[in-house]
This record gives sequence, C-alpha cells and structure tokens, in this order.
Amino acid sequence: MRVDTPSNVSELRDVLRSAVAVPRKCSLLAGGTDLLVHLRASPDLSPDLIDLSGVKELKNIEIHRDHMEIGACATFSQIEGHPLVQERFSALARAASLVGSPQIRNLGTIGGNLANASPAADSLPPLCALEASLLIENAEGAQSTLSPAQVASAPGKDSLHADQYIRAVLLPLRENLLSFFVKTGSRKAVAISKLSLALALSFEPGHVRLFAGSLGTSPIRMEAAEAVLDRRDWTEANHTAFLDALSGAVERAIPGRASLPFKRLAVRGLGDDLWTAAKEAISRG
Amino acid sequence: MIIELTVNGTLRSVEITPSMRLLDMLRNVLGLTSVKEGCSEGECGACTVLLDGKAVTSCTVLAVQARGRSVVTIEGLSSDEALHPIQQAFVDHDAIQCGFCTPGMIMSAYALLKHTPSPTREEIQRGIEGNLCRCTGYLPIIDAIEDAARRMRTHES
Amino acid sequence: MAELKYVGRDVQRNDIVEKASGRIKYMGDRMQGGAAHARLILSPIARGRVVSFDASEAERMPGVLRVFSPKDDPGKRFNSALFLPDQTDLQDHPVFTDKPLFVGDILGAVLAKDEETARAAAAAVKIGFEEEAPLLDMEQAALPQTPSFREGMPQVVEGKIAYGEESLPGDAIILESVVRTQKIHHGAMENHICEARMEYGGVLLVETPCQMAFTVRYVLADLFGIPFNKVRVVKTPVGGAFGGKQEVGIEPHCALMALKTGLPVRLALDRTQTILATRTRAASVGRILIAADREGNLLRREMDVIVDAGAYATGTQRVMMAMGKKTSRLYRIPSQSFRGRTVFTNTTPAGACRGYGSPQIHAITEIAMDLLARKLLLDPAEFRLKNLVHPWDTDPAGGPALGNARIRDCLVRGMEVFRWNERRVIPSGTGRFRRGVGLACCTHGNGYFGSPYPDFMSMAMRFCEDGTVLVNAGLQELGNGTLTTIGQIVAEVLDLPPERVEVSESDTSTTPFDVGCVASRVTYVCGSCALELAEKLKSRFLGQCARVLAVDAHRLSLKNGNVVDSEEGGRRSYGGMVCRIAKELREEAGEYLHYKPEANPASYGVHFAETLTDTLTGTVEVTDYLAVHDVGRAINPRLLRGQIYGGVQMGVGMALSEELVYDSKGRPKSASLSRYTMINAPSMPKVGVLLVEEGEPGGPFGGKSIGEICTVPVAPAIANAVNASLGTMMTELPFTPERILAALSARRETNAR
Repeated sequence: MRVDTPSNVSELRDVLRSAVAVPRKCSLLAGGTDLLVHLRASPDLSPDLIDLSGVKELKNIEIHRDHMEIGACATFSQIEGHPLVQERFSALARAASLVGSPQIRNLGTIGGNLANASPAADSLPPLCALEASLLIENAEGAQSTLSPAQVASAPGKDSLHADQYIRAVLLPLRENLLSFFVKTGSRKAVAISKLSLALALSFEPGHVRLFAGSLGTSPIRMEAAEAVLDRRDWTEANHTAFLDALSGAVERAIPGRASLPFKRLAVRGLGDDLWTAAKEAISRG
Repeated sequence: MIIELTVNGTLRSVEITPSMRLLDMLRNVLGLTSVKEGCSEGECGACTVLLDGKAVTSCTVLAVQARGRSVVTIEGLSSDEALHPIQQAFVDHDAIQCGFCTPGMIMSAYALLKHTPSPTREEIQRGIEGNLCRCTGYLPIIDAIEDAARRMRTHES
Repeated sequence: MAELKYVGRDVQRNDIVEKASGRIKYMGDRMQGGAAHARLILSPIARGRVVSFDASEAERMPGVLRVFSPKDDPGKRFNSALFLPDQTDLQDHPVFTDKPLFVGDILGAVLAKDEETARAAAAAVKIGFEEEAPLLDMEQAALPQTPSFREGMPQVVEGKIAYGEESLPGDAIILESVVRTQKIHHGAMENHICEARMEYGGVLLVETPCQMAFTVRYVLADLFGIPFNKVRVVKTPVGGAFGGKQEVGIEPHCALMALKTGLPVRLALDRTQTILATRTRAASVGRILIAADREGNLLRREMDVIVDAGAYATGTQRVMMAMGKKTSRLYRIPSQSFRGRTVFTNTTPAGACRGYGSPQIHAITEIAMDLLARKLLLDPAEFRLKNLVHPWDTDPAGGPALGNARIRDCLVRGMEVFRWNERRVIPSGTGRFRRGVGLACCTHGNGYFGSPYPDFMSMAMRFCEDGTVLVNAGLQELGNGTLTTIGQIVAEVLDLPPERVEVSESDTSTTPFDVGCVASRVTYVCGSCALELAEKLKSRFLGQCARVLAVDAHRLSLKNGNVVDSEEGGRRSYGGMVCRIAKELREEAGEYLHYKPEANPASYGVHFAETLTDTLTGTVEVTDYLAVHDVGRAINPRLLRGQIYGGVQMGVGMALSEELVYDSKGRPKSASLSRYTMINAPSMPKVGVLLVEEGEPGGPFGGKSIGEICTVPVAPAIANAVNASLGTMMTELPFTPERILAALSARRETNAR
C-alpha cells in the first residue's frame, strides 16, 4: 500500500496522472472517517491512497458574486461554524453540526461524505434542497459539474472517473432564502439518520424545495408536500395536508419495506418541526 | 517511511508504514498507551487526541496524515508532579471508574474548554457526545468538566 | 457506635490518579514484542459444518507463526461458568469448532509476530462451509417438537420454583401479559484480551482482565488436564466488565495456543469480535399471570419464562434459576409458581451480565404490576405498598431470610422526594409530546449463600515494617471500587489512613481462594471477611505490643497509626512496634482468616422516572430520575452514587435503545458501536440518589450490595412511565421509536373501532 500526500492541487493532478498512467487501483482519502474504517474491516482491499486532507485549495470556503464555494475537503466543523454558511445556508450548517461527534466533524469532509454516498449521508438532503452542484475536476484541470444526486446514485461508490476528484460544492446565492434540516436517529446525538428532511424556501411564495434523506440511495424530492407548503397557509387544515403529503411521499418511496410503517409516521414529526420553524421564520419576516 | 511531527510539544521523527493509523503509531511506536482503542471506527472516542488543536479519533486518521502537524495526548497535559486542572477535577468528582475511556474523555474536555471556556451543561454533553463511558453514567464527568472550567478561568484571571 | 473515621466517607478511589493521568497499563498497553499475537477466526455462518479449511496463503505470509484450525481442538468440552466438579451445567463448549453454531463461533486462530500480520493472515484463511438453516427464535426453540441442533444435548433445560396453593379465588382480578427483554452487549470499553505463556517449572501463566480468576483456573486445568497448582491465573487491570468478563471467555483459546507452541501468546479481540464471540445478556420472554383482590392485595403469581442461552449452555441455566429466586423476595404473595426454560438458539451465547437475570425478571414482573394496577384503578405506588415485604420477612420459597429489608422505606421516602402523588395525576397532555412518570421496585442478593454455589473466602493481612498494611486477597477490582472499599474497612479497624492499606488482587498461585467479584458479594462477603480479619489482626498486634512493652494489653489501643498506652500516655508508631515485634518476639504482625457468610439478605431499590415521548417520531427522553436504594450502610457514598449513575445509564439503554438483533440468516445486525446504540452524554438524564441506611446485620458496618441492583429497575421504571403517558400497554423492550409508533397506531385503531 502506498499513500501519496499532495499539498496542493497541482501536486494532486500530478499524482492522479501518474496513477492513471500505470494504471493502479487508487482511492481518494479525504477525512478518512469512513474509508479507513471500511479498509480496516476488509484487509483484502488495500488500495493505494491519495490523501486529499493536505491539499490546501480544497479546504477553502469562499463567497463569490452569485454563489458560495465550499472546498470538497472543508470539514463539517468548518461548515458548521462558518458564519456565512450559518446565515445563508442554515440547513447545511445544521446538518453539518449533526454529523457524528466533534471528533468526526473535525475530520469528516463534505466531499468525502458525498463520495462515500451512504444513503444516510446527512449533507445530501440539504445540498439538494439548496440546489447545490458539485464542481468536478480531472488530472488535466478540466472542470465539469454534477448534481449531488448523480454522485450519490450508487451507494458506497461514487460516479467519478479514476482521474477525477470533487473540487468543491457550489451553492447558488438566493435572496431571502430560508432553509432547515431535521433528522431522527437511534439517539439524540451521534446517530446514523433513520430519516431526515431538508427544506429550502424563499420568503415569498414560489420557491420551495424539500428533500428526504435515508429513504433511498439519493434524497427524494417531496413535491406534493412542497406544493402544500407553498400555499403559505398556516392553518391547521393545511398543516395536516402537509403531513399527509409527506406520509404519502414516503409510502410511494419505500413500498413494502420493513421500515415503512415507522417512516411514514416519523416523517410527520420531522415535518411538524419544519412547519413550525418555517412558519415562525416567515411570520417574523 | 519516516515522518516528522510534533508530539506533546516535541519534534519527533517517526518510522511508520503507509497503512499505520495514527492510533497505532502513538501506541506501538511511541509508547503513548493512554490512547485506547475501543471500537476502531471513530464511535467510542477512547482514542481521542488533539491534531493541530482539534479533537480527533486517532483510529480514523492515518499516521502519514499527521506529517508536519502537532499531536497532543493526555501524556502532554500534565507533568509528573501535577495533574492538569481537568484531570484534578476528574479525580475530585470521582469521574473515573474503570478508567479506560478516561484519557479520551479528558482530551475531548480539553478541546471543548479551549474553544468554550464557560460551557453550559448542554454544551459539555455535546462536547463529549463522541466519547462513550459505560461505568459512570457521565454525570460526574459533566460535573468535573464544569468545575474544571471554573478552576481554569479562576487560574487564568 | 463510635463515630467512624473512614467508613461512610468519600474516600478517594485508590487508583484514580493513575487513571486520570492515563498511566495505568491495561493488558493491551504492554509494549508489543515478546509475545506472539493471535487473531481469532470466527464463523460467518450461524449453523453448519466446516468442509474445507485452507490456510496455505496465510501460512505463506511473512511473520505468520502458526494457523490453528478445528483440528487443534482438544476434544474435551468445557462450560465457561463452572468452578467445582459437582456443578451440573452442560459441558458443551469446544475451543475450536468445525460445527459452528452461531455467527462468531470460534473456528481457529492465526498466531503471528505482530497484530497486523495476524489480522491480515486471519482474513486470508479460506474456509468452506455446508450451511444449515439456523434456529433463531427462542419461542420456537422452546417447542417440544423442535429438535436440538446440539448433538446429544437437550434443547430445553427446565427449572421450577413454587410455593402455596395453586388455586385462584373466583373473584380475583387477573392480569395476563407477555413481556420480552432483549439480548444486550455488555459494552465494557476495553475489549476482551488475554495473555498466556509457560513459566519456569512448567507452570501455565494466564494473565487476564477477569472477574473470577479461580474459575479461569478451574476451567483451564480441567480442560487441558493440567494439575491445578501448575496453572497460575493473574488478574490484570480491567477496563469495564459488567459480567462480560465473569465467565471464562478467550482464556482457553489463548492458553491452548501457548501450550501447543510454547510461545508467549497475546490474544486480543476488537469490538466486533467482542460483540460477536463473547457473551451477552440473555434475552427472555416471560408469560405472567398476576391475581389480586379488588383492594389490590396480591393473591397469586404465575410465571413461565423462556431464557435464550444462545448456542452454548454457559451460565445461562444459573441466570434462569436466579431469575426465579428473585420472585419471592419483593412482595408478600400467598402463592406463586415460576417455571423457567433455558433454550438454545443459533445466536451469540448469553451468560452473566450485571444483575444476573434480575433486570430481565424485574422487567417482566414490574411492567406487569403496573398493567394490573391500571386494571385495578390503583396508584401503582399504593398498589405496591400494600404488598411489599417487611423487614425480617422470610422467603416463602425457602431462600435465605430477607434481613433488614427496607423496600417500604425506599418507596415511601422516594414518593415524597420525587413528588410522586402530585406528578402522577398531572395529565400527560394531548399534543405531540406526552409526559409521564413511572416507578419500579426491585430486589437483589448479597452473595451465593443459600444457593447451590458455596460462598466463602480467605484473606491474609499483615503490618509491614513501616506500619503500612498489606491485605493479601483474591479480589478483582473492576472499576467498581472493590479495593477502595475493602481498604476503607481495614483502615477503620486498624485506625490508619486508607492510603496506607494496600489490597491485592487475584493471583491464583499467591492469593487465598475467593469465588470472585460477582453475585453482588464483595461488600457483604469480602467486606465482612476484611472486617473480621482486621479485628483479629488488631487483637494479635495489640497482644504482641503488650508483650514487647511488658504491659497489660487492655491499656493499649490503636490511634491514627500509633499504639497508645492509656496509662503511660506514650505513642509508638505501628512501624516501630512491628520492627520490635520482629526482633524481640521473632513474630510477624499478621493474621489469616477463613470466612464464610451465614446469611444472604436482600438489597432493595425503587426507581422513579419521568419521560417525555414524541408521539410523532416515537423518541423518548428521560427528563427526570430518582434512584432510591436500601444499602444498609454506604461504606463510600460517592463511589456508591457512581455505581448508581452507571447502573441507570445501562438501564436507560436497555429501556430505549440497546438490542442485538439478527437477520434471517442469523447474522448480527448491530456488531459495531455505530449500530449498537449505547447511551451517550446527551441522552443521560440527571439522576437523584436517595439512600436508606438502616444497617444490615452480617454486613461490614451494616453495608450491603449496590453494584448490580442499581441497574435492575431502570427499564421497567421507564417503560411504566412511557406506558402511563401514552395509555399504551407496551411490553417488548427496548422501547424503540419503531415500537412506540407501532403501539400508538395499534391503540388508535382499537379506539377507532
């Protein structure tokens, strides 16, 4: 086993080029919180590793004119504690704060979370709700973009080519955007999500995106529930309609699954949390 | 391969293998056996150390990733003579039973108090949420960290 | 009694500074090198047969010393709980098996120069299997038509305890219920580990973090046919045990490898292996019938309990009988029957786990008691008060007398402090979150006296030349404060600071016999032995001093490290006198004591819980908690509270989240700490502690047990609070969100009809 530790993007591209040229089986190592555990459990796999954690350009969080760029190796602690993420993309900040424990959040990265593509990855639903795209780069520096759902479509393995890496997560800046994230697991803190919801909506009607995590390989959009919410009608009847829409979406997403009886009910609790949070934020103005 | 890093304030050159975890290097190469392995998946926190000032589970970090960086274990907190105020508070509050989780727990407490010198009880609970203890029920630990924060503030002022 | 200087005080734990500094060396902290490292090969299938075992690739790996396969099994079977030959527990456990009976059954091992090589090589051993369908369901396992999957061994082992008339009055109010408790991982933070090597003189030395060193010796000597005095078992620092290190675990495997190779062998398990291949708390299903009159006086109880031993007998039959024996010691019930069936399934073996069956049987009985109270329209606390035992009651089933049983005091005082009457009648609400309170009572023992297992121990105690005291005893410190407590008792009698008393741990070749740090016997039995021996030593020492000083012994007393002469007024240090006794009398200031308890009173507790349940997500938060315990007397109140906090924590896990579950092929779904949910700090409630200290005769300074009983009533107290707040009748632990939502749905459907 060999480990390369490039310290900047140019070195990273060199390493990738040489790896592809041989070719040899390589895995990209970001925070390591999932990959190292996985490799240890399977001693027969011992791929060469390219450690991204020292590549400085991948760790930046920057704000541009119309979007925010979060480097793929930004840690969950960085994201959770970043004032602009908290202000503009609070669903993502919240989701980051609920990943693992402080120790894991200090290591785990958003890019690693996406590339690992676990259905329970907490960063996915907020990224979908916030219309994020992923900036992909290859060894030659050519850039392309993918949606988070495309990367997550195959659980446990990502959809990147051998010479590609996730450079950054791009989040469009929308005016007057509110966003929320809620999840439920087997414990109050440090729990794998059994179900999560991420909601982004604008102050004025017309823009609502609501995604559920842990229902399938990638987050599932809850369109009927979005429509109910976009009425901005905070009455009891509409509240019930919203929760019913959520339950209906879960029923359609995982028919016959053993977890359905639980999830179709539990989604109402998470939905109620979102409803209350959205209602308060919007009525506060 | 040989890497250089700072361990408990001292610059060290350490011979490692590529697959060696930071945990293995600290325990087996450097003999810092306060760093414990409890779950091998970053879930129990017994192997918590500080990497560049931040708490991490050393079972989910490769030794090579610590190249050029600074690592602190509980051996770096106290001298032979005196315990660190957090350690002393753990002693005074009987926050230790079997003691296996203790070094990792204290390192998490240390990281917490570095950034949050006056934590609420809830912040303390969240600060140690990644450290499992099966003996104490956490309550004496939370008391100890609260008390340690008080002592460290008094000490500094 | 004169005021006590050390007993009853918060004396600092003897090893706490070593632990706080991280300097203490657990077995795994010894430097690698000097020993060969072993890695177990575990079965990936739940039932079947090994048809091929190809170690050629592993053997070719550099650094591999030897691969052990099922062929290396010694042939003889052992039972991991057995410590005397008359004990009839089935001896059915192989060392390395070719017929795996659960996922995790031990097939072989790799011995290599270091841990990493052993790991890699173990993964490279290719094993072929012929699989058979596993038997996973314990109720199916109990059916008479279910054949045994264990050749020549019974599928069900039964036990019965009964007293009183079998008939029921016609107008009795009857509650029938079925309560299920789950399989639980002990969760000690230190995984299982052990070292074995041959020492000078052909002695097999086994070092292990264990709870019963002499049982380890028994099993090893018996299994390998080695003279007992050639097997030396030394207990090493324990990073948590909770009964998981009580039965013999990986010591036979480690010893076998050392015996076969002559090499020093270290065998260490990782977390997944510890979950898969060691022991668990036995799951149980209890059918219960309780009959009471309209006023709430209990008339009769019938219990039919199935206990899941998993794949091997281990000590589960004892656990099952221990469950039965608890049932006649909490309430006055005119007649009762308990039928227990230990059954075998293709799952991880069960065995001892904190409470030894008590948490299971109390979950069954105390949840059912609340359901009956509901039927009788009675306050669950008042209902219990009508029926609880009184001090000095006897055990109608023939067990030892209950002693100074103060459960009624616990309940009455707890109700006041918890404000039970006030809080119980607060409506749980109609919104999303429902609040409720619940309680549960419990009893546990103080040793083995009165059981089939003999309870006795010996200790030696001597003054050293500097006046410090050495207690030579086969004890096991587990983090529970055994050594500190024993030291305090000795310090009290000999009047010197506890830090000047050194108490040893088990070394079967050098310490006197002790059964072990098990059965809640340490305070009551070992503490009493230490107390009586300290008094014996004191009397001998004073006599020796009197002879040296040529005065009457009655003039002399021990005071804070000095021998004081009441007439002359002189003070002479213990150390000085020890040296004079040595020189002038040619005697050691030491004594030895054989001790056997003549009683086994009951300890008691009542726990009160307040819960807040989210009826939409099904999550439960324990928002307030009070633990009340009849401890006789707290030898060290702070350590004692620590036991209670930890016991509550384990109990909250049993109530809400911990569960070892298997898929249809018998593969554990929660064989790691990310999938097996133990309670962490944010989920831990604040816990109030109230102690009832009325003194227990036969216990040191009146003290009795706490370490196990404090986890016993937690799950039913929380379950009762949740059921009260939701109006449900849930009886299957743990109360996961899934089960809560299912129960709420079922209730809605019933109401709609």
